[in-house]
This record gives sequence, structure tokens and C-alpha cells, in this order.
Amino acid sequence: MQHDKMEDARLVQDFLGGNHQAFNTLVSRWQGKIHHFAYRYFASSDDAAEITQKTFIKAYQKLDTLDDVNKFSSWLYRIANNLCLDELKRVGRKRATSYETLKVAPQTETASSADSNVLRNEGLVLLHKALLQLPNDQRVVVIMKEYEGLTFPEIAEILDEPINTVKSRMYYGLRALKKTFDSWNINKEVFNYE
Amino acid sequence: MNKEQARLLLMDYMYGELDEAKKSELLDFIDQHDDLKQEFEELTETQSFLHHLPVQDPAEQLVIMEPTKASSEGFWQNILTALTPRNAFAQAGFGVAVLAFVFIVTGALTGLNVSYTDAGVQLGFGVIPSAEKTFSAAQVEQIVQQIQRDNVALVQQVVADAQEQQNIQLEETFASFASYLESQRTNDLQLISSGLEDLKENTFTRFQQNEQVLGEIIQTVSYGN
Repeated sequence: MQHDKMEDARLVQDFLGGNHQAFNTLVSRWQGKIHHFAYRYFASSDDAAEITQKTFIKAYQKLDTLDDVNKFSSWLYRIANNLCLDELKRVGRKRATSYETLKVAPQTETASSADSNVLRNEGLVLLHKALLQLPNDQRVVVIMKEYEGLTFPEIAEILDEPINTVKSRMYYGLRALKKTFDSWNINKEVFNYE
Repeated sequence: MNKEQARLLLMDYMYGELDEAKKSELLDFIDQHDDLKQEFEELTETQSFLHHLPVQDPAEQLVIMEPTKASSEGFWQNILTALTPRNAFAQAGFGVAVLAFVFIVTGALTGLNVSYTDAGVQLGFGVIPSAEKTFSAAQVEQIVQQIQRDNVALVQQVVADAQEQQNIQLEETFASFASYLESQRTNDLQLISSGLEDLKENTFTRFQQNEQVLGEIIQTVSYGN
């Protein structure tokens, strides 16, 4: 991890020194992570691709404003998160409607399905939908912690929030997910089938 | 340690960010509280579900294209940088010179004319017409008096015309009224004359009738005798 940060810092310095190709190396190193982050945020490949593209364009334009080259990853996640929030504001009404629909739409009876493969896939779909139902501030913490592998101090720095606030959001996010899983009858049998 | 603090530490513990000393303290605290133990098990199970969430990789590799260096903007920027002096005093002089140059070129292109008269500086584009001669105070007074006289004469003329027009209209009205009266009188005379004729004719008719009746009476009386 530390080695990765040093490599990022070196690439940022190379780019600022005029090496354009260094930025494309940064893109190839971070595109997947930012895409995964945005995909889990919106559960949409199109939205994820758009957010990823915008993130790197903005990073390209603003990289000279980065105060500490060792904090490139946090800075990049902050850009992506802000763009996700902007996107939510832009289409907030549409998404809010779809979330409301989700609260009543999932009717999967996981215990009675005949095909376990289908059952498992439906379980995964519901898992994603449950994540989408979380409030934005909890969802972003769950995604960053659970899937991006960021530490609580790193998440706190990205979101510019106190560490305990971040931990609290993580706790309440997991509690809310547990409640949703219970109401949708999602249990470990859904995921144990291989 | 209270339960709220324990819940925050639980997050650290679940994700391996808790040091050994606090870890044993937390586990001891959880052992003493069944509700926290239950929460811990539930959150661990929820966390295990989340691990199954699939993700899609990006469809294509992004590439940021390097902007072309030979842009016109860069070209002019380089020229400006090369021409601008480094010294602050020289820069100020350079700025004044550039402004003067721009002023002269713009003036030449737009036909700017600057002229000085007794009244001051006159700026204009193209050919500036010469200023017209002005009048003295006495001349202005004379012109005003002339205008006043003209106005008086004009008003008098208008009043006289109006008076004459009014007289004509009045005469016409009287003539029309006299004609009306004459016509009325003629009609009345004709009516009177006609009435007298009728009366005369009636009187004559009755006189004849009386004579006839008297003749018949006389004749009757004569036959009776």
C-alpha cells in the first residue's frame, strides 16, 4: 500500500513536470477502482463509466492544485464522491422515485425457489438494491470501507468528517442493511450455494 | 467504556483496525453485555453478505490525449511573453506604449479627429463639420422681438379671420331665418286666401239655396191663394 502511494506520488510529480504519459499510467492504475466505486454507488455501468471519465478529466485539469502528492488517492476519491453527489442532485427526483419503488418491489421468496442458481442471482440483485437504499452518507462509507478497503482515517480525510462520525455511519449503515436483509428474507443460504 | 464507545470500537475491530490492548478491553466489555454480543454477530453476518456483491469492470481503458502544443493561443502567449520586459518600470512604459499604439491604430482605422477650438477639445469620427456661427445677445433680442411681432400679427390676423367668418355665418343665419319667415308668411296668406275663397263660395251657395227656398215658398203661397 505504501509502495503504491509512493508510485502514485512519483507519477503525479512526473506529470506536473511535463510527462503527459505519467497521467495515463495513473489512469490505468486507478480507473478500475474508481469505476468499481461508482458502480457500487449507482449500480449502473453507464453511470459508473460516466463518473469515472469525469473524475479523470477533472483530475487532469486540477492536478496542479493537489497540495500533497502523497494524498493523490484520497484526492481522487474525493473528486469521484463529489461527482457522484452532483449526479444524485442532478437526477435526484428520478433516483428517489426508483428507491421508493425498491422498498416495496423485491418479492423474492428465497426459500421456495426451485433453482438455486437463480435464487443466488436474485439474492445478489437484492443485495445491490439493499445497498442502494442506504442514505448517501452511510452508503459511501460502507462502499469505501467494505469494497475499496480504505481505512477509517482515510475515509474521514476523503469526506472531510471526524473519524468517529465515519465509524458511526458505518455502524448505522450495517444495521440498516441487516434490517433490510431481514425484511427481504435474505440469509446466508442465498450466498452459500456454489 | 460505554456502549456507544464500544460500538465505534466494534467497527475498528471488525475491520482489523483495533490494537491488541483495546481489542481485549472491547471483547471483555462485549462479553458482559448480551445485547452487544447479539449486535456483533448480526453485523458480522451482514458484513459477510456484502462480500458477495459482484462488480463490473470498466468496458474500456480510458486514455487522456495530450493537448496539441502548437495551438494559436500558445503561440500568441509566447510572443507576448517574449516582448514583455522583465523590469517593472519598463513594463509600465511598455504598457503605455502599447496603449498609445492601440489608440493611434484605432484612430486611424475609425477616422478619429481631434480638434481644438475656443470652446475646448472636439472629438469625432470622420469629417467634422465646422461649427456654425453663433448670435450675439442683441441679435438674439432682435430675433425674439421680431418673432413676437410676427406672433402678434399672426394672432390678429387669425382673430380678424375668425370675426369675419363669424359675421358671415351670422348673416347667413339671419338670411336663412328671414327666408323662413317670408316663406311662412306666404303660406299663411295663401291659407287665409284659400279660407276666404271657401267662405265666399259657401256663402254664395247658401244664398242661392235661400233664394231657391224662398222662391218655392212664394210659389207655394201663390198657388194656395
